[in-house]
Amino acid sequence: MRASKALLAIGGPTLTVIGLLGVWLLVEAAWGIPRYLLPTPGEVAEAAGANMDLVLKSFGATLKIIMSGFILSILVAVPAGYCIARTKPGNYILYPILLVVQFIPKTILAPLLLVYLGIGFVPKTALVFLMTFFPLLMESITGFRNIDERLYFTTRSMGANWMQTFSFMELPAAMVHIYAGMRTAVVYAITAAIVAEYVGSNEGVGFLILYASSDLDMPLVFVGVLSASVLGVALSLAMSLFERLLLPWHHAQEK
Amino acid sequence: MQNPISSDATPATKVGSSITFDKIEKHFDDFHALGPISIDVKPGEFVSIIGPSGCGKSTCMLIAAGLLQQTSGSLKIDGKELDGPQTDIGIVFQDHLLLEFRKAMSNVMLQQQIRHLPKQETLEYAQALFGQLGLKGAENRYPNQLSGGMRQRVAIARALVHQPSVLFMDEPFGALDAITRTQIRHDLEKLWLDRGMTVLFITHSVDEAIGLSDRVLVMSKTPGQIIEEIPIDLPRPRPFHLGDYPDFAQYAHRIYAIFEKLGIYNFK
Repeated sequence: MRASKALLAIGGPTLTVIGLLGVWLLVEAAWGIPRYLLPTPGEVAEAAGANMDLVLKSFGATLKIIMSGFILSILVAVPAGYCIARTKPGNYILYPILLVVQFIPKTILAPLLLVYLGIGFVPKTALVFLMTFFPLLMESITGFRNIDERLYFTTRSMGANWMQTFSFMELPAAMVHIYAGMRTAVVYAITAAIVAEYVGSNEGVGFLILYASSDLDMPLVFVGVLSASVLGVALSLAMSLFERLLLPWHHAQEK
Repeated sequence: MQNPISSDATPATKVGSSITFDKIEKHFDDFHALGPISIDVKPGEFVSIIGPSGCGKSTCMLIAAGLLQQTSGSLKIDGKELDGPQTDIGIVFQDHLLLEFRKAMSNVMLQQQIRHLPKQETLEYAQALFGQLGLKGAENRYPNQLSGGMRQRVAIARALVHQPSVLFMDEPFGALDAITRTQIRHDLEKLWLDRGMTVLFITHSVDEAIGLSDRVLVMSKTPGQIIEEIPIDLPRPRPFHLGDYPDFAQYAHRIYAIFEKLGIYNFK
C-alpha cells in the first residue's frame, strides 16, 4: 500500500512532465511554429550541454547575489523588527510609515541603484536586499509583537537579563513568523537578482537570458529560463530543510 | 500553627521565606482592584487565597512576586522591602506558559541556564522532580506532545528546580479535569512536605483550598479584601477523598456560608 503510494507520488508527476514535453512537440508540429521562436526539447538539452560551463557560472553568480542580499536582509530585518515591535517610538512612529512604504514596488529602484552604486556586486545585492527586507521585517515585527506578555513574568522571575530574554525566549518565540517571512522573501530574492542582472550586469542567469535573446539564440534563452526555475525549486527545498532546523517542534506536532 | 517550621521539622535544603503584605492596595487608573489587604505568611506555611472570579487574587500574587507595582502599602519578604521582580521564587500560572520550542526537560533547565546554576546537579534535581511528578519518559517531548496535566506538571517542576523559598501558584489546576486535579493536588502536597518552601496558592476551588492549606484566606468581591481567615487543622498528607475527614465538611460549609453572605452564591 505504502509502496504503491510512493510509486504514484513519483510516477504521477513524472508522467505528467513527459506528457507536457509531448504536447510541446505536438504543438510545434501541428501549428508549424518556426524553430527560431520555439525550439524543441532536444535542442534545449543540446544547448544546455554545449554551454554547460557558462550555465553553471551564471547559476553560481546569481546564487551568490541572492544569498548575499538575503542573508544581509535577515541580519538587518530581524533586529529592526525587534526594535520596532518592542519600543514605543517604533510602534507609534516607524510602524505606520512602514505600512505605506512596504507597498512601493522595489524593482522600480533598479535603474536608480545602478546610478548611485555603479555596476557590479553592490547594486545587485542592494536590490535583493530591498526586495526581501520588507516581507522579513513585517513578519519579524508580527513575531515579536505576538509573544504572550505573560511569558515575561516567567523570565523576569528567573532574573533573566535583556540578552537572555532575547535569545532564550523572544527570538525563538518569534521564529515561526520570521521563518514565514524568509519563505516569502526567498522567492522575491530570485526575482530581484534576475531583474538586477537584466538592468546592468555581465554575468548571472539574467544576463545569460538577455544575452541569448538579443542573439535570438532561443534554445539558450530556454536554458536560462530553466536554470532560473531550478534555482527557485532548489532554494525552496533548502528552506524546507531549514525549517526542520529552526522550528523542530513543528515536526514533532505532526507526528 | 504558631511556627510550622522549626529547625528540625523539615528535611528541606532551604526553609521558606515569610511574606508580609502591609495594607497593600492596587488601583488601575480609576478602578480600585485590590485591598487594602494585610497578610502575614509564615516561613514554610501553605496559604490559600480563595475568592470569586476577578476579585483581585491574581493581582495580589503578581504584587507579591514583584511583577506588578502596588499603588500603596508595602510588601516584605523575610522582613525585607521588595523593590523589583523577586527571583528566589517559583511561579505556576493557570496556563502552563511553557516555551513551545523547548522540550519538557529543556523548559525546566531554562532555570539553570538563566541563573547559571551548576549543570549536573540541577539536572539530577530536575530528574528527581520529574520522578516525583510522574513525568518520567516525558523529558524529550515538546509541550504540544503532552497532555494538559503533564504540561502543568512540567510547569511545577520548572518552578521548583532552583529550590526557591517561595512558590506562587495562580489557579494552577484550573484548566485540568477533576481526576487529574486530585492526583496533582496530592503530588504537590508531598513536594511541599518534602521541601518546606512557603506556598501562596490562589484558587477558586474549595476542595483544593482545604485539601492543601494550613490556612485559607477568603477574599471578597472587587476591591478584594481578606474577609475571613480559616486555619485548617487536618492531618497530613491529606487523603484523595477529603470527605474522609468529618471536619472537611465543616470547613467547606464555613467557606460556602461566606460566599453566600457575599452574594457569590445564591441557592434559592
